[in-house]
Amino acid sequence: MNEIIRCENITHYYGNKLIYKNINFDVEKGKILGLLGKNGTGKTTIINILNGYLTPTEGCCTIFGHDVRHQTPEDKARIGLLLEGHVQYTFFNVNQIERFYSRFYPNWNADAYYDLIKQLHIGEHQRISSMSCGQRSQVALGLLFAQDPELLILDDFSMGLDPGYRRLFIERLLEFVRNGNKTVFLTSHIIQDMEMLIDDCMVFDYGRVLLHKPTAEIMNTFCRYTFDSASEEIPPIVGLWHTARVGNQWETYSFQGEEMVRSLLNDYAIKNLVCHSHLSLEDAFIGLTGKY
Amino acid sequence: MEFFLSLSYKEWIKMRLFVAIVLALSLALLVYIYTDLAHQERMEGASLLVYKFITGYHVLNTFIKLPLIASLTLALSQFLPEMFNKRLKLTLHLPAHEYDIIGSMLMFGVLIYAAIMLLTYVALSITLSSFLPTEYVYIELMAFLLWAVAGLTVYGFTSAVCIEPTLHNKINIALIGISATVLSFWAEYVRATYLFPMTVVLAASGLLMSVYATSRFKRGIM
Amino acid sequence: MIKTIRIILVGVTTIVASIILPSMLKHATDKPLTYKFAVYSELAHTIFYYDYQKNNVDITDKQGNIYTMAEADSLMPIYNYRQLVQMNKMPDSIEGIPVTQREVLNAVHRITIDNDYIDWPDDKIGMLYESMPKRVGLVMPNDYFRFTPTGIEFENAETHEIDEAKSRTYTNALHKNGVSFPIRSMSGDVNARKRYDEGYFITDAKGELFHMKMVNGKPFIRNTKVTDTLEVARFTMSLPLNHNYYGYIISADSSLWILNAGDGAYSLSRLDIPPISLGKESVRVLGSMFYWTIYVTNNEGRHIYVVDSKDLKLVDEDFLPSPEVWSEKWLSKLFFAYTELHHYDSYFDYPRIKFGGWLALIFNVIIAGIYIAARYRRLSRNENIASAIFLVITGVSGLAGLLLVPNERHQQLINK
Repeated sequence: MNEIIRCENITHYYGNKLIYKNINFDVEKGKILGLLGKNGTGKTTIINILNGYLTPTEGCCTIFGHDVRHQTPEDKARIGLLLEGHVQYTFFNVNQIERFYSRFYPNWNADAYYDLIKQLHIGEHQRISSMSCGQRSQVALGLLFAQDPELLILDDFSMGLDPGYRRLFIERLLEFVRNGNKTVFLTSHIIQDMEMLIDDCMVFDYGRVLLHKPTAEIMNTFCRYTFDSASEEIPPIVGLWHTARVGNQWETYSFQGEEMVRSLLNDYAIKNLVCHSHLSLEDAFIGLTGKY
Repeated sequence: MEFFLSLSYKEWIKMRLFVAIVLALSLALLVYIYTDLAHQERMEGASLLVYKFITGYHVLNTFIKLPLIASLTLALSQFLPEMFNKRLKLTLHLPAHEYDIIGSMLMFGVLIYAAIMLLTYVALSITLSSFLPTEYVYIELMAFLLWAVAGLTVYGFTSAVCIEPTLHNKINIALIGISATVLSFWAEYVRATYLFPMTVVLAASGLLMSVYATSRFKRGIM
Repeated sequence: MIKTIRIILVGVTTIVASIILPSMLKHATDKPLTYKFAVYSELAHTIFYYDYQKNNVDITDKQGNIYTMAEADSLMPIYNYRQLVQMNKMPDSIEGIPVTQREVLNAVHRITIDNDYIDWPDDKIGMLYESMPKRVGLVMPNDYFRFTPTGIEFENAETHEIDEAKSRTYTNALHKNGVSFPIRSMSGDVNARKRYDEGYFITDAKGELFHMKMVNGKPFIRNTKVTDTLEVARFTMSLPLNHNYYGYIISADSSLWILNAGDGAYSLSRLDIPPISLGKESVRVLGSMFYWTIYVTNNEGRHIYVVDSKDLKLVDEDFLPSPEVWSEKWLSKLFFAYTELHHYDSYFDYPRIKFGGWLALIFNVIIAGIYIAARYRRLSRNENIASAIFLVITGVSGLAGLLLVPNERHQQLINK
């Protein structure tokens, strides 16, 4: 069993509102899995479930083979957590926060933390509350590095960061993860960042897992097709995603390849079919989930 | 023990300013008591001062506010920062069981509160002994002790209100807490002699409510 | 463990509600328990009642006759002394005895024994005045005293140092006069504005009653020998202006006695009324020159006794039933079991469970029924049964506990 994270038959409601029903996924050791989805599809919900901060209505998740609702202290020590917004204790300063966390983790590597802090030219007595969003994100990252966990769970790691700090975060994180064969489960709204970072991509749609594939496979095989057609309406066709008229043209998305797409659209008198391949992950996401 | 000491570092950094404020308030009240008694003794005579106490006078009526204010301040300074951006999730993610974590936090708060009350108690005892017979020093100090225990009720329920994840249950817990506080401060001085056990039970319930609220927070109750 | 914590919290909340809710009801609905004011007429030899309404007063006698204010004034000259003197209508004598202002005013006195008198704590500290001061007026002493297990010690009020010599002198005097230590209780009047001083009365370890005061700077200790007649349960000093007595004694058989003063001797007079149920009854004595009116009040009503001031023998009596207490009536209908902290029969506050009536039990069953009807789909069978039994016993208080303590069980079951 090479899975670090496994979720089986997860169903959850908020009140009477269904979030998802019977979703299943796992995350293999050493992989970076990115979770994408529109607002309200349950990304933070699954993060909360994985951390044991939410009990799903039905189903069960395990990390390191143990039920997340009953995480042992040893399991928690192996998991690095980044909360949405890089939430940290703002009453600490740079030194104090390192001193605080270092007492809890036997493998604590203070050098990893201070190396990052020095590069950012942040004073050791500077309070977290007086830092910018970007500086705070680096402090959070530095603490994760120092903890040296096997699994990192990052909820919307890019929230509130400008492009410079986002790039810095990604580069440092990638270096750390690759060097240590770490497993990462993360979410973000900025898909360009995810593109540089993640090995596997899981897309949530309302109530279900829409897709779970390696990122490279999506970007290499998922294409956008534009065409003309006299038809007023083209119904949903299996194998095609979000077929819709955009201005004077039609567009659709598919994994299938041009010939198969042409044959699927045979009944609709299409003309001028053009394949736009090597989509960005963001374009692929829009193709999979729709524009609204 | 090691975990408690490690966690206490965070709690201390978070609360130290407010601990200083509460200590300053305690000192101010002590100075007030001392100058008030000294003034009465100077103006009316030592005998008349003792006479007043024989006929039912009490000097600590202002002091009833200290445990109330101290416990409220300490609870809010300890748990409000944890609820901002749900930082309590960070704390509960520390490598320990959630009951050990919340238990350590509550124990720290209780110990700090108890230390402040103990310092105040000792200072009060020295101050009052300069002016009053030991019998009346004892009566005043017993009243203060009961209020100090009653303050733990406020601490416990205030913490629980902070931690509880849902708004309507925060209100429910606040209602229970206010009622328990009213009962804890119900009677004063000698009348309250037999209320100690009830006050201890209410204080323990407040702390238990905090543990219960933490469990609900951990499970993501909405 | 979470379930256990919740059960404890529901239990504690229920108990808190069982104190707070009835207390709030009482506070919102309480009215003063007013009885007609009873006064004995020295001239008509019957009890008169003043019933104070909003804007006027109805005056009747025990036989039901109605009087005007002017008629009542003249029939009760001692009670209306000041009014009659102002109107120049005060008689010179009553029942053949000359009446002067000094005698009338000096004879007025009051004794109050509250329900909670039974466990009223003793004074810990006393102040011993000079009983025979050389100059008019009492001088507050500069020390105070306390009894120890073997004697007495005097402490300076300013320095709090023990006056060893004075302590030794008084301790020796107490032992010499037969006081057994440790003493059980003491009673005195420490009031700095009193007209005269009679020191303290001490009940010693053997139950004997001693009189202790300071006369010309020296200890005065005397055994009153009242234990030859009765067993002292409690003595309380009460000094009238006419120096006629020292105070009152409640004996072990709950009779009320007056400890008479007179030429250094101590004699007893028993009030000719039934024994008092200490803790259940409160007693007010309104004494005057000719008659004492004694009001003994309990849950059923107010007994009025009139005794002759010369020998304290009963001359008249009556009974006024208790007015309806609205809050008590509704408490017994709404709460089958509730808790009170303050009690009329105790000085101390502590939780005590009281039970309402059977109507309250029916009310509880209705509450249980409504709760189960609203929630039965959301709870398991065992939870429904347990909740029903709990609510039948605890009623509104238990409902507060179940509703206020957070419970996510309901939420989980909604989603299933």
